[in-house]
Amino acid sequence: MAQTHRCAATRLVAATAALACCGLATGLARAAEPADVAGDWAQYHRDYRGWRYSPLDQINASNVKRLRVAWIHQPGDITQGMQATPLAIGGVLYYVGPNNRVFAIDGASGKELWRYITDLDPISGKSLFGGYSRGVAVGHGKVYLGASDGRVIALDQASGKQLWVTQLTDPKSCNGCNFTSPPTLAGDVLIMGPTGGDIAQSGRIYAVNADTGAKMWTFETIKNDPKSWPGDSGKSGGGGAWMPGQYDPRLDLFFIGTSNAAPDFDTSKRDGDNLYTATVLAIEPKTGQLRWHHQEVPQDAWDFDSAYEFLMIEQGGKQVMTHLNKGGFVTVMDSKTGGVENVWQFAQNVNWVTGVDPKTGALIGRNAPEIGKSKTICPSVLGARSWNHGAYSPKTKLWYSNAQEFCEKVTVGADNKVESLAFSQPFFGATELDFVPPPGGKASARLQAVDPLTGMRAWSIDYDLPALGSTLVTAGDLVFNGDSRGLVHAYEAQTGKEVWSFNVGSGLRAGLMSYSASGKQYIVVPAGFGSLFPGFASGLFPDYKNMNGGAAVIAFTLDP
Amino acid sequence: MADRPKWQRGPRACWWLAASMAAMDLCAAQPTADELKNTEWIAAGRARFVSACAYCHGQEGTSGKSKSFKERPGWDPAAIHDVIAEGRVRAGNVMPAWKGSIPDDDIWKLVAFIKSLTPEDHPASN
Repeated sequence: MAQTHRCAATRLVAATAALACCGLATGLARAAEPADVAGDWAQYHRDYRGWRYSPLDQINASNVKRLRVAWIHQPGDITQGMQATPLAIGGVLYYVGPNNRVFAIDGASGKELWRYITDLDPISGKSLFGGYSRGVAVGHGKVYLGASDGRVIALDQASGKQLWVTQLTDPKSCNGCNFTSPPTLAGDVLIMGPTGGDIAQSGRIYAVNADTGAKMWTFETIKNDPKSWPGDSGKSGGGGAWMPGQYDPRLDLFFIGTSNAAPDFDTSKRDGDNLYTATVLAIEPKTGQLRWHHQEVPQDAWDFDSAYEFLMIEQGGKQVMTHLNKGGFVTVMDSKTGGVENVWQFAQNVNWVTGVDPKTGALIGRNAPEIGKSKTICPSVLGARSWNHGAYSPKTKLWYSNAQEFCEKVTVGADNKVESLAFSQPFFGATELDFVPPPGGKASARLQAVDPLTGMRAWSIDYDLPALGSTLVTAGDLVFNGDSRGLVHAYEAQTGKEVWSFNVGSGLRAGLMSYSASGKQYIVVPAGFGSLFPGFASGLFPDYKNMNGGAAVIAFTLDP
Repeated sequence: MADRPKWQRGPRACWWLAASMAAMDLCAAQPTADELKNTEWIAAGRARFVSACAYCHGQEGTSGKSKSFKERPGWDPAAIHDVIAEGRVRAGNVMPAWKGSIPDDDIWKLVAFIKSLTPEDHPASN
């Protein structure tokens, strides 16, 4: 039989070359509740409550049509699009663009004040979740970046000069686990969790001294308990915590939700509750001690991590927080104890359970994927919503969130071995995984306004594609939402009536925000479509194939 | 040499080079068109594809940001192999390089599966 041998020149060069060569800080102060500066957007969700609500009201329904582009800043790289929510402090914006490029921008003029181009380890390019970030954190005169190669980097807030670097994860030994979300400042402690539930690793949450970068503590999201993780199953059990946590200074507690268990669909070798995956954690920031936890999905078999945001509000004088799990249920919890106050159904199409006990949060009627048998499960691994956050207005007491309705056909593989995985290969454990419409229905998406405590709907607007950006609500009673085609919409917060739209040219995956500078309110649109979601889902939503990439921060303000 | 796959057998000099590079997963001989239609290879490639590639491409290559793999008659196997091995950055989309992580013969099995998705190229397997 004829044989063809092709050894490209580059390989020959490579081969020839290869052959030829053959302290824990003490006395940390408890943080006081920070002063709320109306014109700032100082944290990822603007403040620790997860509201994404700007108290600025200069822009409202009566004048929103006068919005014009004030300035545009481009990071010079469009890899994976824009995924960050910029911060604004004292009229200066801080944001991270593709491949961990960090910028400080004058909010009044759009002039670039400094830039920091992260010299990423090439391992970042091999990681499943490499090359993108959802934001930076700012405090102590520093800008903090959780990097795509497992480092946390502190920059001087005024100059952008690198102050310190601490390597926290070793992506080479954890199948590419890295940081894709901003760290959270809890007083003098900087806390962050890595990706991800879908890779064969043993997830951890890390804390460092915010001033020095010295390592303080590590929390193992894979509990060291054979009843949770029999045998060696925990070594590749996933976990981690890939979204930002939130620090509540009133309770001096750091809240974070953890990733799913791995292999995602195959529970045969992890016959236990698989703590602390798919779990809400309340951690004491100075010590790393667990105050309480609530596991939303014991022995997760659906890739329904608990990574999304917490919405902290008061109910009858009690501090509660609501939390959407990827599986399409919102749990209302007592922030002090984790006690379940209510559970309501966010998704319209759910069959992975028959219900969730609203008093305890216990799953009822599990319908898990099975080995060798194709099943249709709703919602899919992409969730009842992606990680793009909702926004809450204390004026309307409504939570504005995108939602999506589609399912998956999945069959579990019979013998899923860690040893057979490639580097950073998803540890799904499936021999079939395909997105399909809900049985008897069609795939759909919507922006909805609901009571976050009960789920009672005030209004809903259909979208033809799932919108993947985070929403913004303002004291001007406007809800802003960007869609996947690049249209940014403004709606009246009470009614959902659309009052403005603008095509920024590329879809939204990042977080809209608002700030003020020189007496003007600005609406910021970080535009640029990307991330893994649209490609993964384009078989069911073919229009995703035709979306333009991009990356630009676009600031709007009112015409004079 | 009997313990080596048939497609790895070739002129001594090139085999030496290929064997040297195999440790680095840098290079392997390209299988023939008939070998790429081997049903065991296609099955093995499919298993790997669903677990390693479906996240971006869907389980049959119809997802992703690229043209469906089912609409690629005459797609050059070597080109497929090279993109899997070397990765690619195209505009905002990134495909990681799998060289050194997926053994080269397994990359060829992925190629066999991807080629099987095009009916014109693999009438028997479709």
